Amino acid sequence: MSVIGRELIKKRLELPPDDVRALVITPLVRDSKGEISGLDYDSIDLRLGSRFLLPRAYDPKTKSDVRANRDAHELVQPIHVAAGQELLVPSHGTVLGVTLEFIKLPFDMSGQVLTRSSLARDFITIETAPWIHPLYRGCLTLEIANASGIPFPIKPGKAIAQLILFRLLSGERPGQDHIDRYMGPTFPEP
Amino acid sequence: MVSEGCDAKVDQLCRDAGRLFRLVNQIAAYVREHQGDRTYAPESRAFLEFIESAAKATKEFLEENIGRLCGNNGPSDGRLPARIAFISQIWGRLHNFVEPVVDADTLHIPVSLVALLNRQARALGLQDQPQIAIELASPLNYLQRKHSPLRDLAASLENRLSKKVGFPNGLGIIGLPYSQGPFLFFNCLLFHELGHYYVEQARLVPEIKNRVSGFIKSLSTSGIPAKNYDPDKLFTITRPWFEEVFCDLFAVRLLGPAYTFIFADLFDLVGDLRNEKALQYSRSHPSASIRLKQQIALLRQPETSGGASSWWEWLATARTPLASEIDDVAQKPRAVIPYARDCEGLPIELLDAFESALPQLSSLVTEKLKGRRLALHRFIELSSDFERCLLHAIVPRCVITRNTSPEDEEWCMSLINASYFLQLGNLKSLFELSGRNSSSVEDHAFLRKRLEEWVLKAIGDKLAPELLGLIS
Repeated sequence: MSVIGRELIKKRLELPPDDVRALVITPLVRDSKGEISGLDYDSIDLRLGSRFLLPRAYDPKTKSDVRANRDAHELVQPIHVAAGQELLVPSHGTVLGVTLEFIKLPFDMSGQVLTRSSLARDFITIETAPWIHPLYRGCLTLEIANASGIPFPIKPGKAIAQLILFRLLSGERPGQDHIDRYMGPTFPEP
Repeated sequence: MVSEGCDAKVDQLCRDAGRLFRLVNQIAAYVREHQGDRTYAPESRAFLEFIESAAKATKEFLEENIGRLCGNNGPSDGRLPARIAFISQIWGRLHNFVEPVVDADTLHIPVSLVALLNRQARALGLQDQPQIAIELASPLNYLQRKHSPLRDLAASLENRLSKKVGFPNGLGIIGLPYSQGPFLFFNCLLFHELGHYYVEQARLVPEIKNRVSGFIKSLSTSGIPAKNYDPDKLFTITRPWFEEVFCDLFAVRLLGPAYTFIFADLFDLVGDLRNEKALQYSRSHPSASIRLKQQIALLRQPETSGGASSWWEWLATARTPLASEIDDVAQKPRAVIPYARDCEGLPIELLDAFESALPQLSSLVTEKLKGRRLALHRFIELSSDFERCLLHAIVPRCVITRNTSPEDEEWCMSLINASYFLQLGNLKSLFELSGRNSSSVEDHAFLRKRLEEWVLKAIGDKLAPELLGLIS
């Protein structure tokens, strides 16, 4: 595999959405010169969306096998953080967030999500399952973990991760079963 | 504090004041508690802040006046018992408005559709800046809370408290059924309710009356018995019907043909499209049949589509049998018993006169929205790209530039229409793509829910870049 550079990313973004080679990232922000904001020579920034899932508080009435018997949605509490407001990730805590960008990968590319280094130095990890398969579509659910001893504020719209794209060398076309079972989520999924 | 020297009347007054204090304090605590752990759209926040501010002012008023009365600090107000009683009445009525708005936090409403609705409202050129807050309502229907009673309550409260309570003048409250909370399509009926808000805020009733004056005149020759012929009374009876039709046409102009279909779809869901109810007039509403007929007439005008051919021609080729069903309902002859039970006894001739006046309303809507870009001006151009995205399970692509424009709203409206008509079809390719089972009802519901989420996401992307700091 090789890392995809800026020019190929731009070319793939311009293809019609129904082309299997098309890369879709939406919304895209263009600056005053018409350049895609956040597009580096080998990566593109991903921003934080406004929906989150928090782990539900401990409920003493539930049995110990709660995880086995419950729908995953029952283990989390959805919240919405309005634009301009912040969410505090508790110290040594994790919340699930979602990228603002909806992504569809081409059939011949995989992706990896990396924490932005500025955040990593604040002991924040954005993703612990960072691999994205070809043809994935949806907003990415992010596990935002705060390993520090103090709460950390995060804000919708802020660039928090980088997407690195890799080309599959075999050129093998994945079957339809590679479409993610979540089928284009726009909210974080537990 | 109440001193021991208070006589029986003062004791009574203190008790009344304490009772009111507790009510108001609890309402404010209820609002604060929910604002603490939920998020609200700016317009709902404005309403809830008004409630908190009114509660604070009320509590201060009670403390000051009762304190003065019991502590002999300055002259007592002989009108105080009446003022407290009146303020209690106001809070008794404000009480009804609070809970349904508190329920409608941003997890339970279609946030981006509400943002679009508010943008459209602000472009109506009304004197007070419109702020449409949403409430969750119990009936499976949509409603607009009349603005003026709420505004009057706020004004009365300010008057009795001799203090400003920060009521937002352009505030309107529209209710959507709690079961439809965050969804898209049925909630497009909010545009009809926006019409009611517009009629009220722009004080259009006299203009409507003026426009349909021919109707009033024709009543004298319509065969209505002379003893029943009182033009003002007959207009009062038919005013809600005229307003309903006005709001339908207003919504069609703003949103496009999807409104007509969604309107029929909701009627169908509750089982009223295919039976006699679709032909009946009630006190508050004209028949669904006549409402659809007026909408189709508007959609038949080429000017409404912004193109050479009419929307209705385009829809005739669309992939849905709902179009012919709507046409059938609109063409049905009047029912033998055209009135529901709540308006039994009204003369049949009233309907002839009412229906003959309706074309005048269509021209009034066109006039009122003159100068606004038609929502669907670029629909045909945009719709194929939208469909291509949605049928490939992709949120319609949105490029944000520094220059936002009215075209953003046009884009959103076109997207709503394109996606609505798309989902009326069988979505075969989406089933194939997802590997889901097209004979599973649950999978049908899931994919249609996803489709609505993609559209709402795209609208949100289009409308909120400034808020998210994506452009400065």
